[in-house]
Amino acid sequence: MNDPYKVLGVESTSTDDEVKKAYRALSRKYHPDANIDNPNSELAEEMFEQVQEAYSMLMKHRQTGEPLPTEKGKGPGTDSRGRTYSSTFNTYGGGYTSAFEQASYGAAGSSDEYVPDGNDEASVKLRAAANYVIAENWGEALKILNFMPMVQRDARWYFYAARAYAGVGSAATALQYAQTAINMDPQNMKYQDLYRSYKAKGEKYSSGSSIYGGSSSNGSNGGACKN
Amino acid sequence: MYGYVITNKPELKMKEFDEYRSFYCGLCDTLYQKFGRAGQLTLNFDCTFLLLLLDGLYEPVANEYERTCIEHPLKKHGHATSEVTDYAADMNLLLAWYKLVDDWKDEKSAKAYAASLLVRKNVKRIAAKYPKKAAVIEKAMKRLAQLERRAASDGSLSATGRDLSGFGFSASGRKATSGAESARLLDELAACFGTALAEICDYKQDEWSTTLRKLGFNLGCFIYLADAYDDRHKDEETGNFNPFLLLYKEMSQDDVEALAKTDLNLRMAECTECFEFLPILRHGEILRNILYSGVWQKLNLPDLKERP
Repeated sequence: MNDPYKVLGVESTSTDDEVKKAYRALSRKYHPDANIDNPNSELAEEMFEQVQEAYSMLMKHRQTGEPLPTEKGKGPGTDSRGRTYSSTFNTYGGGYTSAFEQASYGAAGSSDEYVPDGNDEASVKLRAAANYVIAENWGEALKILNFMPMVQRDARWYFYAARAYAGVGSAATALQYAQTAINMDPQNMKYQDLYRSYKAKGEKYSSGSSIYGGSSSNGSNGGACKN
Repeated sequence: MYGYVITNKPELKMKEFDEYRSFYCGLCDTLYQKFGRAGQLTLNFDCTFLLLLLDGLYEPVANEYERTCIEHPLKKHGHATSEVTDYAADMNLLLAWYKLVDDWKDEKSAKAYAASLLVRKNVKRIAAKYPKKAAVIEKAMKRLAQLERRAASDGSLSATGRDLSGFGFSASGRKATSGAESARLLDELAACFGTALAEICDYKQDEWSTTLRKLGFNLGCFIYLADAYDDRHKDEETGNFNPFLLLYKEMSQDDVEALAKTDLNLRMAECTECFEFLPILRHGEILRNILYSGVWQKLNLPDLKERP
């Protein structure tokens, strides 16, 4: 796996804008449309993909703290399933994956995440759903979860359902379901942590918005032409 | 629903505002050239945002010129257009069309009906130019109307249309957190508009498709939520459907406000994360002004003013 910094020609101390500028220059150079007459167009295409991959990897690393593959094994949260990063460029795990699900559990969740035990029917189903959630296969997880009758929906159900709904971008559902899990089992820290991670993500955005005038409504008109 | 994706004008630098206005005027002009006065009147700020977003991402060659315009008739000023303006104008018309259809069906507005007739021929042409987009948008808006109608007529209906009350109580003998299923309906409704905007933001179906779609989806959800939230009291009086009114039946006012605020924040958190992921340099600060601050200007969130 190539060092994304080297591919783009930037440093770890470069600003995001510098990274973007470097990306734009390289991607313009190797873009398929710019290399139609190039006898080495296959090489250009390969370079284009490498540049895309490097950019994606680097930006993801900067946004989520996910370690770069060159740092594999050096820190916590390593994707021990060896998933390549190119798969994260164009999909978020086979569909739409909400980044606030990823933020809570790291890249695709760690492979040693606890899954429900128990041999009763509900636990067996939950285990299957949990594994889908960990693999970020939200659709399959929801299929199992939504088919379980209300009597089988305990705190664990709401916990995994919250994450699955978060994964498909249903923010209000995720919040309420996380809250339900807490209500049903107030002692379980996992449920508290999940809810907190959702709020934290929203608050991080809020605090980041202050340099642009913040989210306070001061009644000013933002239109171009109404004044 | 339109008019939330605006700038926080006092926070913009003068030259940033000029840049914003020149693209806005360029879009307005393009609408007039393509669709006549009726088309020009459909101009909305949301499509101006779309224009700046895509222009920033693709950096097409800009065509800049100076002239007066109908809204600023006194002094010549910059207008800017590019190939993206053409696309934004087409999408602007499509969005306006579905809103007009919605208005005259909903409120039986004769004005909306009349306005829709004026643009109908052009809308047909645009829909034929982008068959997939038009189909997705139309389907999403129809689904939105359908969900709202169904929920309005039956308060205990879940988002999927299945009445869950027959399943009985949950394992611990307690029902789900009150509001959990209404929250699901809220998400389903918001997702309709989210899906439409995702489709609109996906300009070229290229390597940025997924990111743009996610940005559009979350922004669309935000817009729907903000609009529903702002209208909740008015809808209560007029008897119109509003998802927040369902939530109020099951949760305390404070809890509903808290959910609304967190939900709105999360939508913008997702949206801006997508934005920051895109290699956009051109118009960057204007777009950040809009996404981090502008979108909150029209919203009436009561306790935000007390925040330190």
